[in-house]
Amino acid sequence: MRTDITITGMCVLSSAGETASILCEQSVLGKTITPQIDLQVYEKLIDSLDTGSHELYRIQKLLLVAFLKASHMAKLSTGLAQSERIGIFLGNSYGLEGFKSNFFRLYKKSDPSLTSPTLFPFTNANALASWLAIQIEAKGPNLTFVNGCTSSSEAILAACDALAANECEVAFVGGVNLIDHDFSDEFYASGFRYESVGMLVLEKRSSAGNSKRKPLAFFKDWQSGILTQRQIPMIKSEKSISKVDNETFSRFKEFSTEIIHLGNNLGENTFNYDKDNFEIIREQQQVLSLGDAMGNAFDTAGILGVGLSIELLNTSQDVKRHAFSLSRENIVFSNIDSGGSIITVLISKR
Amino acid sequence: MCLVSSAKEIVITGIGVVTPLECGKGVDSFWHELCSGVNAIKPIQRFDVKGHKCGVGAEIFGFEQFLKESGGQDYDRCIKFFALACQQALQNASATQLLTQSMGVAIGTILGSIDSGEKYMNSRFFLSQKGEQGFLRQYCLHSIADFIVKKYSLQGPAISIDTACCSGADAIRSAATQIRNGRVPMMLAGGVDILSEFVFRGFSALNALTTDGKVRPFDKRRTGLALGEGAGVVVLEEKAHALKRGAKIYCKLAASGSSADAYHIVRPHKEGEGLSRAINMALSQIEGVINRIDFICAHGTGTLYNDSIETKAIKRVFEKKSYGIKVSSIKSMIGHTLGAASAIEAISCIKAIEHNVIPPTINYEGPDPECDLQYVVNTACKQNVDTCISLSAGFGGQNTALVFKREHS
Repeated sequence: MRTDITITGMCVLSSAGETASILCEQSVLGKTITPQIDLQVYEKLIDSLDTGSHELYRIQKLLLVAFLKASHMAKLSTGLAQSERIGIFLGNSYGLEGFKSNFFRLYKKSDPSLTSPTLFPFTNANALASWLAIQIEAKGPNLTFVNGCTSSSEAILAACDALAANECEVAFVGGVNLIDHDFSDEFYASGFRYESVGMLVLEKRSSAGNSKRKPLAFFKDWQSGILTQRQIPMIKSEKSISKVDNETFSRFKEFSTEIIHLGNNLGENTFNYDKDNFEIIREQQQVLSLGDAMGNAFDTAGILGVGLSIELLNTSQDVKRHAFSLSRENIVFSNIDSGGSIITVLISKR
Repeated sequence: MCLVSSAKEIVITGIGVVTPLECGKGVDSFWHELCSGVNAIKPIQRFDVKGHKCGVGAEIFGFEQFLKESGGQDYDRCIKFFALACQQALQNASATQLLTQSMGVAIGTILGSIDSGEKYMNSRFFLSQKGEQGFLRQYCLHSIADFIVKKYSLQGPAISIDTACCSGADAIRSAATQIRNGRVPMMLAGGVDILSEFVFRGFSALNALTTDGKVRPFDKRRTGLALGEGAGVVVLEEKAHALKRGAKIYCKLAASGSSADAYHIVRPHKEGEGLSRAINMALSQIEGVINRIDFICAHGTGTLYNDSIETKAIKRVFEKKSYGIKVSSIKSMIGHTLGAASAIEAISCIKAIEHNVIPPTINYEGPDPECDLQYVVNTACKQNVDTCISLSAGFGGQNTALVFKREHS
């Protein structure tokens, strides 16, 4: 079975605005960007979905905003897919750390009868994806990835695999990079700069094509693997690696592409505009490192990278509103984490 | 265009477990204890349970003696569990160093190295200290996969999943997908979690723990679950690859399915609708198997809700045929091992096929009218087992079903 995956909706949100390129541009230009997203702007949007009587946590609100905006862009109406055919794939390694530390503090201080039963379920990383599934009645596969900085990239891969295997018809893929918890010092020390949330709506090319909606872009290939043990220490010491020699990625050489790279907390300069040192594609035009612009985006990294790729592919070349320029119709986006996992997707305009 | 192949058959060529029954002695010892109906649920020793309605759990002691050196560093208890299970599974699969380089790892866990997390948080919040960075690094949920990647120089995908109590099974599903899509020929896959004060406090607050010191799945007197700890790991391999290297094949991972209830953040759907969809998704992948299921290794937590709802889910799928299928829950012996549970239960299915024996559900005394299937109670049952299903369900309404089938030579 051969298939392409269509991206029909997307939302990338930070305090800089509602696109990944704005965040990059403003950051590269040295403009002041507040770390947290102003959620008051989105109160009306959040209220448009009945989520019950409980006040939502910040992380739930952020995810909901991204979902609503991405669904709206995808023009998803009820009945487009049965609820059993809707999957949710989320990167969420660190988003619920605040719940864990709160729960820990409570049980250390209090006697057993006072330990909160409502807080505990939200100490599980999967609670967020499950909660979203309840809100939108998504009864298909529901997977939460806790891979660290490649979490949302791993979620993208899993969603593509699930769509290709016909396990679902529509996949919502997201990630939230949240900072209002007890571990903010550690996050900043690891390169965190800006809170962000992102969501992609993915469908099989055939299903999306039938509905006559305009696709944003296509995933034509997606792979994952590990850097060699020789390479990982070199990255950690911020030395450039000579090449990524995993055979898995050789198939990308057949495409004429440019590369967007997100290296997270591995030393953001590792691949910084250093064409010769990243040889997935031999004749690449340009390597763009997002580490410098976005810092460590943790659980949102994959969505931000794909989001920026799509924005660049859909911007006409004579519009100079981006810090980056691009000349091809394909982008290879790669995302590496501190364990050496490298996830690569080929994003195409057609 | 992405090539996604569904033609590749996936087989099991290695297994490893660390449970409170055999405490790391190996799979054969685990299987012997399991089929003998040994109860590993005892008073909890590793932390204070004073003031709680439940004081029992299934803990593992003395397992470290079986673990080969880990580079001199003292790793988190959870990492050690998973490392030992991987060590056993690789040895069992006769996987050489050359083979491991073309492998990946998929791990399912709920709280991972929470021992390190508790130490770190205690320093930060109660001792006004900075907290050791080593604890923080291990506390990250992906640290377990990172450790295995480094230890065995793996070059394939490294995946860390949290789908609550389905984590181990979803890691196995995900690993199979990697092989099926041609990324690697072999994957290590499974689940792990420890019995920590953190998780004990949580389940105690939810009133989900047994109040009479025993776990009695499907029994009318059941009062709740007991927590356990452990790890279960399988080596999944592309069949052609396994045949080429002459590996022992335990059985086939014939199909799998996963679904969400989209119903409640803690409670399962009252009619078992989500779990039945996961089973149906799996069964739809193999023709005619619905009539040939010999054994269902149930999620069977021993809580009031789970066992009756799981019974309903099985009946929704198999209708009258349900009454001819043997059902059992090993949680009656090893407790609920959380992210490891579904992986250990998958291994129970694999061993049931290998030995044609179904392990018992112990502590069973009286039938519940709402749980009226053919449970294997108190003693193991010797019968032909060609095809079986491992079921799991978790917080948030997660459901996963794995189907294992005998591989005829």
